[in-house]
Amino acid sequence: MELTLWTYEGPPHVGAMRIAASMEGVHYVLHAPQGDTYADLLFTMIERRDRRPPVTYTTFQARDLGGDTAELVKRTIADAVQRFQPEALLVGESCTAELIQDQPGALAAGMDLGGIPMVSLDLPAYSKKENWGAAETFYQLVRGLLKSQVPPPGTPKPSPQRWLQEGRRPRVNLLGPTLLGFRCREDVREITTLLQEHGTDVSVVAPRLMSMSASTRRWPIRSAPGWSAASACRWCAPYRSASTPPKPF
Amino acid sequence: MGVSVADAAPALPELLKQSGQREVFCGLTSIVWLHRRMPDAFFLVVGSRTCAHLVQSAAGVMIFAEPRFGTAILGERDLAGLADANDELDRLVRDLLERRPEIRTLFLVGSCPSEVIKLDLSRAAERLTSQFNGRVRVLNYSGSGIETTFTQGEDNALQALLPLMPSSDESQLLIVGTLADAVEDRFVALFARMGLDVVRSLPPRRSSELPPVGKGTKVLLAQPFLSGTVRALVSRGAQHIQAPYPFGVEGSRAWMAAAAAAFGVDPALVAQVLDPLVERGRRALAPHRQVLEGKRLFLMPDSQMEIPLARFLSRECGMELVEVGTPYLDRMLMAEEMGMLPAGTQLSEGQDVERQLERVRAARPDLVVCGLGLANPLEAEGIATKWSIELVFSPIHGCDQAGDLAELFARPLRRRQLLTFS
Ligand code: SF4
Repeated sequence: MELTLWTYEGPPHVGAMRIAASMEGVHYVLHAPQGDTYADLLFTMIERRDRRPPVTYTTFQARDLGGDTAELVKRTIADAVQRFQPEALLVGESCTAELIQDQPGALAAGMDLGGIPMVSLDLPAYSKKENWGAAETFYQLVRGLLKSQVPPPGTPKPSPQRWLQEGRRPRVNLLGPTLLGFRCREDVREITTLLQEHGTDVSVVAPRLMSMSASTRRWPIRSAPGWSAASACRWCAPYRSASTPPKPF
Repeated sequence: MGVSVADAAPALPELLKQSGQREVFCGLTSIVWLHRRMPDAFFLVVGSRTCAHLVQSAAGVMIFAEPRFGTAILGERDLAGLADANDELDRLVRDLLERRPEIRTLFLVGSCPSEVIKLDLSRAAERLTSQFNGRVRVLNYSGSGIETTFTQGEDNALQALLPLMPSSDESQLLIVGTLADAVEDRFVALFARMGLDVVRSLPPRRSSELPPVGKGTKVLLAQPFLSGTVRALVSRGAQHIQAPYPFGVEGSRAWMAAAAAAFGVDPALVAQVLDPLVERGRRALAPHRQVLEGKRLFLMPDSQMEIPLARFLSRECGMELVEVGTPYLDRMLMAEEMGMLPAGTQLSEGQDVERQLERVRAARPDLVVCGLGLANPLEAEGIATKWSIELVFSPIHGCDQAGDLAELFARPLRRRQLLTFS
């Protein structure tokens, strides 16, 4: 137990919300009590977004606890999928739901979601914080969505000289900038300009404002890691064509 | 999710009962105004990082040198063994109180996690009170999101104070519910002019100076969300004065007059004291009424103040009510208010936020009163909004404040007009 008068980071599921809200086509079903909906205001008031984050909360109450909260989770997932028709679904829980152990991810895995990919998030609320939650969510999302595209073992790595052979400038991806990230927008602009001045183009910036359908398939190429993407970069690393460039800061 | 229909007051259509996602703060939020009201108290949430984050997000960006609220964040070790969790809590409270000798009352505020793991905060409060031997009183109440919404936290905090209120049958008027200090002073002065000399407040300004309660106590509710507190006071012998709530000229006048009548004050004297205020209040309202008249209003369920505000905005400001949401409907506390709503007012209880937003979009009201998570997105859809949380932070009670209260709602409409015409 720790006395906290001010917390700079929120709980890990807020990190997951930052990833979900940064992307297009992702929806997050969060098993959480009603008060946890306060997190919406981080996006609508602090980030001043013109829409709510793509999150549906189960808002279970004490009187639900005696009954079937698992049923509530399933109903909420089914309703959210039908209403928002996401291209990928994140399913997770906040601190309180973690204690009641409904395992929403496992419940979702047993449901017919119409074929959309579902990523179950396991974000320990009593030992981890927001930035960790963001990194883990991004990692799980990348891994969950691209696992099927991992080249078979022994596939030769793409040549680092490919851009020369193809007669174009080299390109990198910037992974990690999110909504509610400190100066992420300015940093992306600055780094993109710096890279361009040095002859390198920026291909994908993710997760911030990245559309699920448009860009996921281009991820596992060269990436400049930073912000909340360390795990995702480590996972991508074996498939990249060159060694990781130095961190931007 | 499910929508069912239940019975309602005769003049009103059937109450729309909803269940689904509720977009509303939990009761921890009321710490934000309670800690300002009682500067000698400290509110210690026993919960998670989410709880800490909620309270500071609701409070806005305010870092105090000596904050009077904080969170004892449970860690994995606390979850593993409750015995340890109790020891840890004792240690943490001892450290806190040693560093902060000015604290007279410590509230241990229960949260969803502390309740789910069944950490017994009432036993902890007893244990700690005896350890501190009278120097500090340790109390507990629940502000958890599984038990309470938003303003219900104050209802629970006041009920925690109740057992400490001395018993006395002395005749007194007890105003219950947090008021801004200046507003409270004004009411006390007005009641004095009507001959009511013993007027006390709950919560008091100093947590250690609690008013007494007993057969001579007449309770006047300043806030419409104190269901448990008023019933507990009545069970200690107090009498509840039925009245509308002191919002707007009409409500405030009726509220003060009801108290005066309960003490047998001559109505002529009441009129002599209040009529000039009513006159001034109406004049202050007039320019805002011009902006609000005929505009269509939708209130999302949030602060539990929706029904009295709807009454004020329709009757005194001429607004049309599209839907009046309330997190829960306490018919005893709302009896007077519901009788004053225009016939045909659609009330809704509970929430399924997505479906309610569909109704908002379909009705395209001129103004929506809602929480901070919904406001900017609705503005982006071209609908003006008023943040309901402002209503619990602003001094809005009384005839003198009626103009300011109306102005709070007129402001977003005026701003839109300026933007459209410029
Ligand atoms: S809803 Fe529960 S867990 Fe969430 S902030 Fe409120 S008390 Fe804490």
